[in-house]
Amino acid sequence: MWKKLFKNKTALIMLIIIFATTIVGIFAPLFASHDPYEIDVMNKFAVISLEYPLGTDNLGRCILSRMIYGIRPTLFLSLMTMIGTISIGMVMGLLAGYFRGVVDEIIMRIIDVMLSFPSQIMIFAIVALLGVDVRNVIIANVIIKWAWYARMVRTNVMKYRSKNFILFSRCIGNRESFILFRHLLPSISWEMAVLATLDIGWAILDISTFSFLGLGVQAPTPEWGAMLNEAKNVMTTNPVQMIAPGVAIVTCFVSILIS
Amino acid sequence: MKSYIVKRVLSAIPLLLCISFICFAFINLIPSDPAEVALCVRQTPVITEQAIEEVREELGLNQPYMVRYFKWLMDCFRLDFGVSYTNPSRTVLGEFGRCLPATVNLVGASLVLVIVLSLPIGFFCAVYKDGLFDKIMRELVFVTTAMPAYWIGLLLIWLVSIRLNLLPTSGSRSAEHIILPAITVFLTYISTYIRLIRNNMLENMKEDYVLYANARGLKKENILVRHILINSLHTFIVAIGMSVPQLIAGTIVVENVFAWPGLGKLCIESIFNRDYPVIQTYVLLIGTLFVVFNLLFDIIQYLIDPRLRGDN
Repeated sequence: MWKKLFKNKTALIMLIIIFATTIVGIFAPLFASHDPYEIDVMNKFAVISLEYPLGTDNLGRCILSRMIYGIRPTLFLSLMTMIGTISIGMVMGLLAGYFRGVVDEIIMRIIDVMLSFPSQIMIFAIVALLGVDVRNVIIANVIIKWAWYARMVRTNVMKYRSKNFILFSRCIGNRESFILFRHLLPSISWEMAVLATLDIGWAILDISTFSFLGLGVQAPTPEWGAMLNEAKNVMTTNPVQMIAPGVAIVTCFVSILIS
Repeated sequence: MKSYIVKRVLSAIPLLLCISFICFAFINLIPSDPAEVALCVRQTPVITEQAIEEVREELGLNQPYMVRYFKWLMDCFRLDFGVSYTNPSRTVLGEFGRCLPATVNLVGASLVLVIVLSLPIGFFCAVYKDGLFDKIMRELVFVTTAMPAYWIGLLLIWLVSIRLNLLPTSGSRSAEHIILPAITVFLTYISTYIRLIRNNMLENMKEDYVLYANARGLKKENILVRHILINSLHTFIVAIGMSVPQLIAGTIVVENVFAWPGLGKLCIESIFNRDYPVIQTYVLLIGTLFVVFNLLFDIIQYLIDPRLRGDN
């Protein structure tokens, strides 16, 4: 597996980018030269210099430090979204695929209804209902997206449930819960993990979009989407402020998609 | 054939009812009491318990849930969606009437761009597969997929409006204003259609009828356009048609970047102002559009593609 990875140069580079971003994000205080909240109005729109590698924004905050601190909410929130979606999707999919019958019917009908809805609009509706806050954006994302995973899990479970090792396990009288969590869950989790990593990219885009619209992470917290929102107003004077977070989002998304 | 259409139309009804019910439940889930809100809207100076009771009686809020739902549904059929909370002098219908034309213009313009450009690009990508043009276009498709719509919008504003000073940055006063938003929407959606046309054509090229046409000695251009392209168009038309509601929903972001006075901007403003009737109607509208367009183009696909009718 490692050999294969080293042969695929693009995938390797993208993986390194992702790891580097994560590490820089986790140890942000070590890498950032300034406090991301430190306002210095006298020094606003500073040009690119050694002290401020990307200049300063409209309030004189160091853009690079804000970018580095911005990794945290971006990655953390998208991870939270994925964990939430996958766990609900897993449970529902397992139940539907394993027990079939009435349980399956009910869960599948719910999934059908969820999937036939325009997801983006429903996320907006839920955010509107719960109030403007990034937690609600995540909740809305989870509520809307679990159905898709549940269906994938269900298909996978149905593929495995008639395999011999499961039938054998049932023959020797293992409990249903044991079969579900010890046999089925490990068998399907690999495929789900691959799907989920791909989807983190979309989660990053989604959350930054909501932050950009002002519905997610609120200023002054440094988050890439929210930073773009702030940059929108000062675009004429300071385009760097707008370009840097955008490049970061696209790079992150592309690396996750390719690797 | 008729039975298929009837079946499809009938199957859409439960879905529409479901959407309407969720929209209705939505406004009943809001944290504030509708009667209290109604009093606020009427600008009653002092809100007493008794006044709330009276309004509840008047609005029929003390009736059973299902009765209220059917009443609300009937109101919706009469296009009476209630009154905006933030702006009591305006009905929700009026607000939508004010904002809908801008969104329709924007979606129409982007749709024209998508159709006019993705068809030839996809066509040439398939014809010259793995050639230079195809490679460049594939990269471009990838890049536009990876860029979020709002960032494309911001980059375009910066590049075209600020650096080159060619077009206005925002608003909708003249025809020039629509160019940048339309290009932004178009750029976010074009990748899907280029890929669709390209892959469809490549698949069709392997079919027997193409081999036969070649064997008959027809001209290459003729085969490409009259046979392969026309056969690939079915899916394209259906996909374009079904994506119209998606486009309308997708303009939320672009409209906010360019301050385009359409439905998307109205929706975001309503979310900030907690103007629930507007949001409710917006969700209802988009949900209904989704179902209706899906239904319509399902039937159209059935009509234009004889292969699907084989089973009956």
